[in-house]
Amino acid sequence: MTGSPIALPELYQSGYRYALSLCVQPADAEDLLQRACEKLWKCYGGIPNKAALFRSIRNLRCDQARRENIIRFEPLDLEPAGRGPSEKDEALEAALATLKPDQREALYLMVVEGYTAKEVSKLMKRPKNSILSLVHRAKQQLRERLGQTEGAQHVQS
Amino acid sequence: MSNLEERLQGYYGDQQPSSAFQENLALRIQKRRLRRRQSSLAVAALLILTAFLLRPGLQRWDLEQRVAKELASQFRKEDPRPFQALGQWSELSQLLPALQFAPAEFPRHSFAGWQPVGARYCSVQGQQAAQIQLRNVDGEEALMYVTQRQGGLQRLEAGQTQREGIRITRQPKQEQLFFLVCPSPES
Repeated sequence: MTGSPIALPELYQSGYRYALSLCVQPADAEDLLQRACEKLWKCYGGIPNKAALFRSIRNLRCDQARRENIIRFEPLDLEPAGRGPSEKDEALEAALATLKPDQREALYLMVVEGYTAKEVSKLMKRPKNSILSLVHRAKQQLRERLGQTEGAQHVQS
Repeated sequence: MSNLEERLQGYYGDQQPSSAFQENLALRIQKRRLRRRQSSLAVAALLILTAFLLRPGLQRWDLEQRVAKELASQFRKEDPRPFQALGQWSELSQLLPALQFAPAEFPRHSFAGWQPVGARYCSVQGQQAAQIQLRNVDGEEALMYVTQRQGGLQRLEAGQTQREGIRITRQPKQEQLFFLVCPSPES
């Protein structure tokens, strides 16, 4: 999780995807990203690096969850995001929505962003083993869920 | 890399914020940059103005300190040159004929209790001055400097400075500056 400079659009894309891993809904992710960017602009006059953006997004999400006093679990019958994912993606999206937010977050950071367990544990402020366990369980659940969905689709067809 | 990981990367790779959101965010950032630049300029202008306003005060303070340092060091130094006996203040011009100015009346109200007893040539910040030896009724000695209020010394106003246990009192009078240098009572 280095502070190497990256282009702004790329940073926003990463921030958006990370926000999406926290909130599932695109509108919520956009809102979270916008607030995080504004907060960083206010404090530092810009976005120092990806790690700072992720931290800011995470803190805002935690504050929001604290205010709501509960971390919302998105319903299973969500409308697809409508951003051109394939049918397979819809199944994955629905499966991802069943995961706990921290599982989804850890999974995103390790699998998509390529962070190490140590880096993720630092960001999420949890022990390394706990992160590995979260990711392992998340993958297991996703596989089960995707297996069920694809199995059902196979029977229907 | 497992099939699931590839699917996850593909799924998140396809996700991106809407173009309206990206445009809105870029616009907000542009506005914020502009506001930041404006406030930076305002702060810079304020700093320049403050420095401009404070400069004369700082320069005067610096001069007061330099003069005080010079006079305090002269007071401590035992100059072997003898003082010429001075009975009356009015005799000063005759006693020091090479003075480029006629010393003003002794400011008795400011330096009450002191009596001139001797005089000799001296300088303050490179300007010719008369150094007068004073004595009070208790037999304590002090030094008085009289010089013209010109050049940098024009900036000096009436006041007092303490330096290394020496008290320097400044008193301007008729385009001349009087300095009374004596041990500080607190020292």
